[in-house]
Amino acid sequence: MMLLMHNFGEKLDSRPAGREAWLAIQPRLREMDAAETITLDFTNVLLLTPSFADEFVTLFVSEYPSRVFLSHTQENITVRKTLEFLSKTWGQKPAMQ
Amino acid sequence: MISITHPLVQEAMLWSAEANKPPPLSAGQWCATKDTLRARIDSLTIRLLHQNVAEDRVRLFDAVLSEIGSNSFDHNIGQWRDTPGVLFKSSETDDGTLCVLADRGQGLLTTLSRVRPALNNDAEALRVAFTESISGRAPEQRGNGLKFVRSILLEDGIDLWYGSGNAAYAVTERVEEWLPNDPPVLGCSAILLLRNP
Repeated sequence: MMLLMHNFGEKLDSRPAGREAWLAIQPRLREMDAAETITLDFTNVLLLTPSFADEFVTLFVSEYPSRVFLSHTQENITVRKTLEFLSKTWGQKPAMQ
Repeated sequence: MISITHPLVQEAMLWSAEANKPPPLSAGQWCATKDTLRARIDSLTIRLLHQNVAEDRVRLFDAVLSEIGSNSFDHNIGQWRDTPGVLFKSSETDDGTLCVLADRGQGLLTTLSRVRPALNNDAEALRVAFTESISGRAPEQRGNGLKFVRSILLEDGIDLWYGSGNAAYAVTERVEEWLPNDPPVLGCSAILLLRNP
């Protein structure tokens, strides 16, 4: 499954928005096959902060530790720095590109 | 250190230290909701990009403003001291773009004492807020926003003065200081400077 993060907004900057995005995606996650991988693609995201990412990306990483792949994380400086910062708190680091 | 004599800074400091409910701010300064604050920060970032400020610096400035502003709403919703919302204003100065963000909320010590009862004073609360992963929204376990802000300030050279109660934290050209503050800020108050290249 591929999730285009900019579909949740160009600026991903608040806890409520992250929580809402996580709840909104639950029906699709329930439809996944047990071994299906999940790619979070950050193309065209203009802003990502830890507030949003903690409520969304961190939950993907903790719920699906071996199945999550983070893509296009180097194109925007806030995406890169937020994910680098939070990855220090994650038990298992997802593949990042 | 950021000049605290600038009229914008003086206005914010007086407003955030006023013991009684202050007079209403003008609509251009006041963000009653997080959406309004988001729109004002967006306007600022568009202006900076039109001024040919490097995009990476604008996006990082946006991230820092967003985290500090979000904290004001997330930690004080339903618990504002007397005035709900955030004061937000920016101005061009000789040194760069100056922004103030201030709230009349509970302040760091009150918020963090709920999950860290051993905190004794504003200075300890301020240091914990910027250096430890702790959330004042227990049982929520996360609380990385101000740690992330600190990392950006120290790595990327955005200046900050942040006061809560009678303590302040300042970063000037990547050098940080922990300072006393008088008069006390009743909620939290932040002054940011995106220096000219």
